[in-house]
Amino acid sequence: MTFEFLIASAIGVLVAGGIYLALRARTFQVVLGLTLISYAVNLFLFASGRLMLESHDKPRTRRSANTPIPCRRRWC
Amino acid sequence: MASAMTLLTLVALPFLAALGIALCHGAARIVHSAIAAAASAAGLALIASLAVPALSGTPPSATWQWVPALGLDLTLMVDPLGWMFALLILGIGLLVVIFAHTYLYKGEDTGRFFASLMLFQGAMLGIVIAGNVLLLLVFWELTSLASFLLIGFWQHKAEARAGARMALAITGGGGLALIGGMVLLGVAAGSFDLATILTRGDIVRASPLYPAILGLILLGCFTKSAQFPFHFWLPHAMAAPTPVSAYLHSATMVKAGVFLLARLWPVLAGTEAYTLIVTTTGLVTMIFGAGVALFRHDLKSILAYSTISQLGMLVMLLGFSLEAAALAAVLHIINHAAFKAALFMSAGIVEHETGTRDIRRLGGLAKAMPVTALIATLAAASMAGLPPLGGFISKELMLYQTPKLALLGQPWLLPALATIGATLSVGYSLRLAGHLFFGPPREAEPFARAHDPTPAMWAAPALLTGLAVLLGLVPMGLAAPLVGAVTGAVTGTAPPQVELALWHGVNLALILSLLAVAGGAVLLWRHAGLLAAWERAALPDAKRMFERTLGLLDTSVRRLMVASHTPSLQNMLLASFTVTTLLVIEGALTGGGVLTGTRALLPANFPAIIAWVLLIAATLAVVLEARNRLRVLIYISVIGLIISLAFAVLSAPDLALTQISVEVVTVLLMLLALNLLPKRPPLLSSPPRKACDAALALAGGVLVGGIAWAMLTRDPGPSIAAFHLANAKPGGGGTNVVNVILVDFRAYDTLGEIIVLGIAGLGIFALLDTAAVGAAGARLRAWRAEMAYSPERHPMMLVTASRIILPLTLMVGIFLFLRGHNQPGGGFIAALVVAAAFLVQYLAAGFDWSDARKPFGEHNLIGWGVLVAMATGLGAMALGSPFLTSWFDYFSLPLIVKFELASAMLFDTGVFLTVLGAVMLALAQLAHIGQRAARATADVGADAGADAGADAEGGDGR
Repeated sequence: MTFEFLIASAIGVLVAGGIYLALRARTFQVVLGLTLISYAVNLFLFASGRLMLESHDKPRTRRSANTPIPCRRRWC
Repeated sequence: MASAMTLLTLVALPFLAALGIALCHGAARIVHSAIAAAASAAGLALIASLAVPALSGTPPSATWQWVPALGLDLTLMVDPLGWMFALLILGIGLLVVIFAHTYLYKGEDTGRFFASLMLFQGAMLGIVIAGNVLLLLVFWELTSLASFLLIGFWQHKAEARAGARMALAITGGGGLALIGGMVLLGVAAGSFDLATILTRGDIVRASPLYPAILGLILLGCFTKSAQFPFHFWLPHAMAAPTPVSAYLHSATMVKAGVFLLARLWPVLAGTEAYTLIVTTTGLVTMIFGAGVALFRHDLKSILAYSTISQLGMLVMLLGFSLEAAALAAVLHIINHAAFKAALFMSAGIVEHETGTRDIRRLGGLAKAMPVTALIATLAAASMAGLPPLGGFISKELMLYQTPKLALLGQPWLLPALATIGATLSVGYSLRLAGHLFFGPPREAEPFARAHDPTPAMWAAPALLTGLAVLLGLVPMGLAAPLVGAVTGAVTGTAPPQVELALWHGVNLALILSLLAVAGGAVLLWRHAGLLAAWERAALPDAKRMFERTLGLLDTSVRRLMVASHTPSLQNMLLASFTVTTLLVIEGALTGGGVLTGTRALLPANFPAIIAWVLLIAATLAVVLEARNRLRVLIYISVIGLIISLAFAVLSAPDLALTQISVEVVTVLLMLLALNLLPKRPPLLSSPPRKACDAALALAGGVLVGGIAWAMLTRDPGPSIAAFHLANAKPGGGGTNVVNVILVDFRAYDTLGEIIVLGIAGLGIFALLDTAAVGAAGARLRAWRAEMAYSPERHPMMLVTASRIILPLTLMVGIFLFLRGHNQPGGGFIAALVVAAAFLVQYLAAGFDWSDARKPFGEHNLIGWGVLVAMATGLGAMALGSPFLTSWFDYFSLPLIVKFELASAMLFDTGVFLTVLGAVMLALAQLAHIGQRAARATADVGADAGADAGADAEGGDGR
């Protein structure tokens, strides 16, 4: 088991659930589906900077090194 | 540079005049016409001052860069061709303004009229002195739009509206084709500069793009110049006021197509295809227009079809690709402008003074209005090509050229057909003058009213007719130098020697001309019989065909839209998901390569696996329990929590903080929305549909997961992260790179985003605020809570806890905000935390209690936030740096250690305020509407009137 597998499979599961719910004929379900899909999209965008575990021995500036810019647009 | 300013002023004057007229819209008619006349006269003076340089062979030109990346420059150039057209546009424009001043009836909107007229004049002027083909296109489109306004000036008349629409559809449609043609032309010639293109004719004609260029540009020219079969818009454009017709159809609008043909003559002309298409189109149009004109009864309709015919002749002459024919065309352009404008104005006078334009009701007007009769008869004689008038000379030149071109291999064909066209022209010209002014009056009433107008009204047509006469009497003195220079500009060679005279000796042209005059006289003599025969023949009506085509297009497009764009979101989503999935599958199958890359992977620890299992289980629960709405919110918050944890573990503390605060706000939002939704919705989808959706969802999930896996197991490409890391501290003054990116590197982005967020908040407010009225309000009032409310609406424990939490949460928010520049936090996150703190109060203590104690208005927060952020950016500009450059420095105070002040902090304050305002506004509104609905329900039995009052009050109070 690797982090990469966990993240990739989580994205897949979220997308699958999101698509299924978005295809329902009820507003609330569609909203739920879109929420799941947006979780997946955020994870995907985040992961596109590749994964890196928090390491305390490095200087603090390294903390955010892996944060890709688009992630903060989660509101749109 | 002096000439550059002259050129710019020349083209800007009409537009400024249009603006000026529009600004003093309410003023008297004389103000409007005086501005228009002054602008036209000033333009004339300018163009006159350019006469020597323009005609001497070194055309004045000037270039300003506009969009250099597209090759679009603001190039203005006055060569002889452009000069002649500019002279016609401004000269006839001035006369039309004078004529229109007296022509327009009392109470008409003269401000709109003259403003549109000047707009049109400016656009036309732009076409003829544009030195860049893209610029020319801009003005070309502008003439279509301005002519739409002019033709539809009498908005209350259905035929004016229909005529304007038809003109716009045809000329605008042709304009689209022209855009394509011009862009291809620029590509083939390697430049969009007109002077350069004109020297590269050989390259363009040899280019494989030439047929497309030719076809598209000709389509643009033919539609604009009303060539068969696009002629039909022109007669319907006669619904315009007569001064407009006089302007558009003598010297300007319809001449634009002819102008462009002449302009691009050195590039396009000379090939077999060009000669065949252009000559044939012109010839057919000439004969067709003349034939129809013979049998029309409306004066303006006769003139409209005669214009079509005359334009056909011009196009035909340009199609010959011969210098001498181009010369004849140039001369005829001047002649036609003079006599046609005079004739249109005369028709306007006749209508103005008799009340009708129907030639069958008029007659013998020479007795009642002798001045008008003299003017119009001379102009019509010039149109017929009778000596000693200008029209005779150009018609002679035309007939003289016809045998030089063997159409379809038959040298006699063209002279014969051209003579038929000329005969018909003589016929309709003679009929126009003869039936209108001579013989007995056909009806008593219009004749009794008829009288000559004031000199102010006949001065303009008289001047033009005088010009038409002089062009015949002294052609060498008046026209020859100009025609020679212009012909040189058309052909792109040295100006030819011009010999213009009435008498050339007996030659073929004279014989053909005599034949035409004799034939025309016979046509007039036998007109009654011919007319009866014409009216017996059922002829196709172009207008009806146009409308039928439009209707057919309309219905088929509608059908296509309904078929392709179903109103069901479900089906649309299904289609887009399916197509996307298939595309990804296709890419995966054909792309080659392996799924798993070679990057070293991070081994997962046990807690991570537990979290993963939880996430999968929560997702499944959301899907399976979606109908149990309250419970599903808990599942979804589990997912959000785990994702926040993932961000935290995987080195993105900022993201984790944002995620968790957004999570709280989202769940609150959903709770509020749920209040209004049924708690257990009915089942809608059938099992097969569900199975199909599930299969698609599974495929989509596998594919996206696969893509993520493939990406994660490969090394990333070059990243800009290093730049941000290196510059965050020295450039932005902060050690939290994410925050520095938000408030400094990409502050412009953030500014745009908070504005969007603010607008979204206001949009939600507007939508929900209006939901209380109308149908939505009625539905809301009919709403009944499904679940029984707890007898204790605001549980004491919750209220007390939330009030203790409030200051603590606020403190956390302030802490996050202050440290944001250097450590995880910042304005966005702080705003969400603070918003959550307030929203909890709404939940616990109720909307009214919290709202009454709230010290701020959300609208103000949004507004101030955007203003503060903008002011920070502008402050940098005031200090001489680019917009949104941040400033920072370090200070030390006694007792408190060294600290940093940065302008980014101020910007972040703007972000904080806007986000707080938008989130509060959206959520409070949603809470409020539930409250309002609940209140309405409670009040419904008691008093409906008070209920409405309370609603209105609630709305105002916000």
